[in-house]
Amino acid sequence: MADVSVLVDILKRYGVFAYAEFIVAVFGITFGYIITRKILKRIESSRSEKNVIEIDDKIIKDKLIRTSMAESSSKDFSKEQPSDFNELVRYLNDKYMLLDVTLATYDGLPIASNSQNPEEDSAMAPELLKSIMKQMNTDTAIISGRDYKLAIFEVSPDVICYARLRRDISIAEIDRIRKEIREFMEVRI
Amino acid sequence: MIKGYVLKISDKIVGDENLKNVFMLLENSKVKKAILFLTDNDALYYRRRDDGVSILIRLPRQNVGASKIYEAKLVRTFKIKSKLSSLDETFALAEEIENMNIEDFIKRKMT
Repeated sequence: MADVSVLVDILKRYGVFAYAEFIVAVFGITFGYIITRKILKRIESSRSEKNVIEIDDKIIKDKLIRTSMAESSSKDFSKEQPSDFNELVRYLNDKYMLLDVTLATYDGLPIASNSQNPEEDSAMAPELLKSIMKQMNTDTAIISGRDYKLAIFEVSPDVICYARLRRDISIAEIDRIRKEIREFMEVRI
Repeated sequence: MIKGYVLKISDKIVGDENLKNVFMLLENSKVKKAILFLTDNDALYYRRRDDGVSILIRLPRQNVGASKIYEAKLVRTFKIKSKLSSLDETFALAEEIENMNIEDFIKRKMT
């Protein structure tokens, strides 16, 4: 306020008092603009810093996933030959980085599983697949929810695979899993 | 994975002696197919097939669904064994299998 009164005094002295209010308004707008701009810039820079941190986190997570994928791919699965269904389930679980795998019959009986509730999963699998087949006319489905992802597909007319996923999986990978189970059943059993 | 089995083709019965009593019990009943869940976490799978073959398989409860697959394997193996009347036939079959590629092998198994 003191600055403004000094300014008014100066303007009075030089006889430009008629324009004093106008000049004060112009100064006010200019200073207001400069201050607001500085504040906005600070907010913007703090946001971009946060974004950089978030992007860094994402990059680190991606690297961790890639590292774990590389570790699992470095494991030579071609040498591993599962000799029974329990080994097959563990093998598929490790190779394709799944949470758990259940092989079941259309009667809802478990063939093999490393799930915590094998009987529940194998009872649910055929009902779910039948419903998908009826509604979507397909024997392969990937279901993704807020907290879960699962793949369900027919391996053979007798066998269904129900797998909980920890990552996104493609149809091509599902086809490879199906092929491996079929080959195991045809050659090993 | 299989803990034991009994197989009957025509009048010939082979397999575990311990399971034969249960097998005969089911065989004499009119049951065509049964799954018995035992209290020791095992299960018994019984099936009387239309081709005159009957089978009883004991396996863990969590693998009971595999019984149908093992049934086909056991019946096939036993039929092949009973077909091979001489040592020459056995060697001929072994030679044939050795010369097969994987696709021919699968085709032969499917038939």
